[in-house]
Amino acid sequence: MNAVSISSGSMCGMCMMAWLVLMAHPVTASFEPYQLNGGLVSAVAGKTFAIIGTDTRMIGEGGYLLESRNHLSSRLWSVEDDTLMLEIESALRSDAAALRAVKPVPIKITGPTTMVGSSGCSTDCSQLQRVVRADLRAASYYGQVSSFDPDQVANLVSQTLYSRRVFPYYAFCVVSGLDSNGGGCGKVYVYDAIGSYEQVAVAAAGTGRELLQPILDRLFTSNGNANLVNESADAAVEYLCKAYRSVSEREIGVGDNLVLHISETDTEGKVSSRVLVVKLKDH
Amino acid sequence: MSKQRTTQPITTGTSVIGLVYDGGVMIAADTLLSYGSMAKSFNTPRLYNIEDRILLGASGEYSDLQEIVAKVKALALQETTNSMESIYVDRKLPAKSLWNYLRAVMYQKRSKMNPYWNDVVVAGWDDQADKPFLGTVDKLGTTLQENLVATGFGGYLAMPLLREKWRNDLSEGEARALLEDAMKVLFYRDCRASARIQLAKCTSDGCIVSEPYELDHSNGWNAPSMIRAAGDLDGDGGW
Repeated sequence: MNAVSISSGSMCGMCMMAWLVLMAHPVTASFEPYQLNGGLVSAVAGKTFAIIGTDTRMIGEGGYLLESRNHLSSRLWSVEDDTLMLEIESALRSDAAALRAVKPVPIKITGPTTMVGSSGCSTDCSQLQRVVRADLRAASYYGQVSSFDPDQVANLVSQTLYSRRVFPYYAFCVVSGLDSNGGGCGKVYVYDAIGSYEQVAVAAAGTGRELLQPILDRLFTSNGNANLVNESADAAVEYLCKAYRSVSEREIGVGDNLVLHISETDTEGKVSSRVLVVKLKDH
Repeated sequence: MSKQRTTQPITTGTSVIGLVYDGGVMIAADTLLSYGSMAKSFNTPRLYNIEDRILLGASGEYSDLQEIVAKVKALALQETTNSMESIYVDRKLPAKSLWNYLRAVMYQKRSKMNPYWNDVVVAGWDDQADKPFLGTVDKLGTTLQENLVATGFGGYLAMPLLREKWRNDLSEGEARALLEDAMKVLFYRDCRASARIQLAKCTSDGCIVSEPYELDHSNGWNAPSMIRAAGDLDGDGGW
């Protein structure tokens, strides 16, 4: 470019062209209301159990900034309130090693067995949680629901997601719980962000879903009833740990810790729940 | 005239960083106000003490931060004067409540496609849990509660250093040294940062926000990596 020959008061032909192109396509700054915060939630339904699990990694803006290794509050929540998950999150923050140990120590809990896991845009997941819980509380208070059964909660989540069809909650969900009417068998539902859902035996939603779902499809077996797996709860935990470890190897949005919430019905029909925290590989 | 919406920040502050230490929480930010690439003002504090119980700081659009602080101060005042209980008990706004309130405010603004363009850091003492509290809210309303936080460039430059050196039994002196070290690194490598910083801490006794002071960077440009590229230092001349 012969810059020396250009006089100070005029633009050369190339500059004029570039300037015109810029004016023809003005660059407008805009605000993106969504952000992908990572996370992979999954659930398994068995004859006497329902398991829901999530990793605890939170990714920030741009897709590469690791904001937290101990995030749970927007990812996994109970229909009743968020105290349990907040306590576990707090315990992870203060002493993760003690919680995971060599063999994961189960934390016994009481309360409704229905849990919801959501992944995608963390702020939308948090908001969804508040809206659904508020609706459930109101319905419970006015006697419209007597128990938070998974199929009722599942329907409510779908309705709530669809209510924002024109500005979606960017929350990909799974719902799991024990059906009090069905003899305490597990029920799992999987969603897209605008509320279409179905009952399945094994579900995954979030970053790395394409990696996790095929592994789980292959590991678990079900016959007859397509919405229940044959495996026991312990075997299911084992498979989920293996599968999450695999996914966390290759998916940057998944890793750190795996938190599993297991609800089981024993032979007498008594329901109990526990939470396990499993460490995924350090990376 | 149709309603205008925020599409980009104009007058900005850069990173706010913070950590929880043994007995409290400490946050730091520099006091440079940028106007694009212009350094507009060198002594603009971005850390606030709310009712001597909560610390608030934010990066991003400065005018939005001023709005947020005005809202927050009004809320805190309301809690101590208008609320039903305030006649009987000495009620103070808990840090966590403020954090949640800000989440709701930020979420509503983002849902109207007109956000407060800030990453807000909220710090305080959680009386219920008897522990320090440190959390962030971003312009979408994403909340995060962690032991270490950093907004903006701090997430890339300061966070790795903080994570390397942090322990949950840090003393106040160690916490301050760690934050100052991180702020120095930010001054070196963030072109919208300055060496004039502000520190703030909160313990169960209350909050203190320091006056702005200058970090000692007198021999900063003499660091070996500033004179010779790090790739050179081991002698093979490669990079």
